[in-house]
Amino acid sequence: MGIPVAYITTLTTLATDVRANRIVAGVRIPHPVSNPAVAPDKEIEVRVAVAKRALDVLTLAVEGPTVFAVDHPGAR
Amino acid sequence: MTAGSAVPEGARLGGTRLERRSFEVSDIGFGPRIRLDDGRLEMDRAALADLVLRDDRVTRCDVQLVSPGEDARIVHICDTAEPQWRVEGGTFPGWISPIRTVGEGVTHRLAGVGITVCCELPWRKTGGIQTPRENIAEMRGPLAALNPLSRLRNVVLEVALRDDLPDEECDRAVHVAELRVAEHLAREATRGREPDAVDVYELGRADPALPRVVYVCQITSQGPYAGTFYYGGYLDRLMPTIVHPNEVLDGALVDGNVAGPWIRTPTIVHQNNPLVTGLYRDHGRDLCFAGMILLRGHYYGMDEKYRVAQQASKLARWLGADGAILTWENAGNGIMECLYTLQECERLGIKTVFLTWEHGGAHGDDTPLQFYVPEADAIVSTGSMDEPVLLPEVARAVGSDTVRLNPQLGGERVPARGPIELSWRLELYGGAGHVGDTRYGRVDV
Repeated sequence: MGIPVAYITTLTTLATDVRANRIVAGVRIPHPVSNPAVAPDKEIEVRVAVAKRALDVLTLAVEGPTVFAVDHPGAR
Repeated sequence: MTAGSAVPEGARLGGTRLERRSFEVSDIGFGPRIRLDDGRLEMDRAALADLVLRDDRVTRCDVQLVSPGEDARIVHICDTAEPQWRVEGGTFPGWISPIRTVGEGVTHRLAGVGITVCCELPWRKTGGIQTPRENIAEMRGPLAALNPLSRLRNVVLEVALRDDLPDEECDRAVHVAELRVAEHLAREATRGREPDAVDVYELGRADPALPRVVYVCQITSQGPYAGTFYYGGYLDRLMPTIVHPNEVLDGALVDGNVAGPWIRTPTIVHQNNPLVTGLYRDHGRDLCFAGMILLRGHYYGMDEKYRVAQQASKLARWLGADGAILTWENAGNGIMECLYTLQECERLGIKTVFLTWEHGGAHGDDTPLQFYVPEADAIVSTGSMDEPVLLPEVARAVGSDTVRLNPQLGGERVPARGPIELSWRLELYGGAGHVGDTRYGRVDV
């Protein structure tokens, strides 16, 4: 048993190809943990949502590469 | 409904007729005025420079001529255009003519000539995808065959710009210089003359039993130095759209992607896109060329990539495609839009062929593509990027005395005559473009 890893990336297909176990779908390619299109005061919410999702999935058992979406309207 | 069984009448592209009159050029030189005589093109060096200097953004212009096989290299290349002149007007719309649809009427071209503009573009933003890279074309040796200039009689405009221009203005100014000279030469050399050859491009009615093939052409456009112009404007935010292939042959697309030399599409390659001319040749015989879809890739959100793929594949379906040829330009995640489009075409029952360049690492044994889908099972390689190369010393460097390498490390100047060591082939001009024009071997069967 090694160290569990959550990988935040927009290119989830590539992460799957390299056999990353816990893949958190990032927002945009140059901004995986945020969204510059969202107003600055709301943008912090997006960041927190992505980071929390990554922490959550660290505790989940997975069978091979699994992609997790972030449930936040700004994280699309 | 299955693809191809019913084609909406509105999607037909017939009725657009382009007559391209070709004037073959086998030799170039300076002379007292522009004239084309028995395949030799002459031009007045000072008058051409004056034409470019009419634009007050340009501070210096010198004209050089370079022919195939010369012990020479051309550097600092911004773009290359084929001299063309639309007899009824409207040459290079959005640049030196009002914006009006091209692809119809009569166009004269100087075949075998390229107008190349060279300029040291400012390095204000180094390291990003909009960095103007060194663009190098070898005229001799094994690497010469891998760029379009080595086969051409080249008119090279060495241009310097005012240093107070924003990047967008620099990007426009070099193309205005290039396209002005391209139009002027074609007009003055061919007006009222009989051509050596005439090609007519018209998508006439084909036997309905023939398979309908659509060309899905994905171009890169990410702003200054990494853009493609469609009727003079960046197509950065373009939703996938239908274009008539004649528009592309007739100067609607102009390339500004100095950021991706090896994998860019110089304007002259758009003007002579071998997939377009090849599909035309087969039209009515082996297939029905059902149209061309133009789109942009390398969007940053996955939602944008999916939206583009849905739109492009939907247009292919509306054109009644049984088959689609997909190409993509430039690098990185731009491959994803093209492959998602391919995947969606296959799901709609449209058979696909995919053209792409490869990575593969320095020894060709590494992963070739950054992304793939299982539906892409008929792939044509247009070349690889990653092999290191050594450019030998040459007698003559055109474009500049030095080349600028490694912008991500702050930049390094090397004498342009060489030798020049490149850790990969990115800086070589037009080697593995999206249509593989330097390696294109069409076989008639």
